[in-house]
Amino acid sequence: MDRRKPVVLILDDVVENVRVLGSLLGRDKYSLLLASSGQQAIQLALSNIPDVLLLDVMVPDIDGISVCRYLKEFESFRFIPIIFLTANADPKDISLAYEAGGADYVLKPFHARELRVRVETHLEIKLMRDRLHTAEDLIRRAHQMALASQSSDGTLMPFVKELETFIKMPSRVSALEITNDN
Amino acid sequence: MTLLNWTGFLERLEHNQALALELATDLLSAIDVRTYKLSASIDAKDQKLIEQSSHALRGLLSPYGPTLLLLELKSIEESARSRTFYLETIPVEIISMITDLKSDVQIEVSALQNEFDRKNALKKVL
Repeated sequence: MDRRKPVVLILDDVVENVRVLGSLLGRDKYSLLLASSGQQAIQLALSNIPDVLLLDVMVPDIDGISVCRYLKEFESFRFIPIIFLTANADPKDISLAYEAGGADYVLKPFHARELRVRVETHLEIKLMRDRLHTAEDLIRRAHQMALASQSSDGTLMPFVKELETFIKMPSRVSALEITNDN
Repeated sequence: MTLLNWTGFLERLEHNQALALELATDLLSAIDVRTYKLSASIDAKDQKLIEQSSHALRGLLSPYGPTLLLLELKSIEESARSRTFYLETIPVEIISMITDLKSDVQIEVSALQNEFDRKNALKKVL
């Protein structure tokens, strides 16, 4: 069983804040990648893909939202949760964070428990998503094998049909067909 | 009126006193440097740097709940963001509030440290 610690990348230009975050999360529970600039965060993230990112919104060189937007262009980051850290509860800024691909936001000053729960929740969602992707791959392979070993009397046909139906199911909300019955 | 909200700080840390001691000790060693950086950026009349350094100082102090001080720093940050910060030095009220806060935190840190020392001494005896 894989017992590696989840990797958390923290971006904050104030080194004291990074230390606070590390202590609040629990250094023994996570492997921490610490970045003090947007550029460093991008480099670290691309060279060692983390399980979750905590990005401060206001960073001098490349702000957290731009870092998120950039990373989300990469397929490997599509499902990596990015949580923003912000002292600003302005709904406009929060909308911007979500539109950039952020999964959540935590307001400063942090509450230890809230921060931990949010990180754990997003890690769990990621874990389930990863398992779902693996299951989908297995189902695709099972479908191909069932097709290849189809008996002449067609006994596998209902199973193959069921697999086909599952494979064709939309996996993203945007792929759902909106029907208007009115 | 005290600026420090030590109870709120402890609550956010789920009353983890060891962590509170670690973080507050960190604050005491960082507060002068961060204040100096704000002061230097004001001396340099660099609006971008003023915005960044007041934001950083605000972030550093916010867990300790000094509402008035945070409002003053936010006001500096916002006027620097709109490139309209015109003061020559850090306002004296801000320096005074930082000094008071630092002193209050120092008292709490000493009390916590004494408590830990006392517990450790007890452990040795038992």
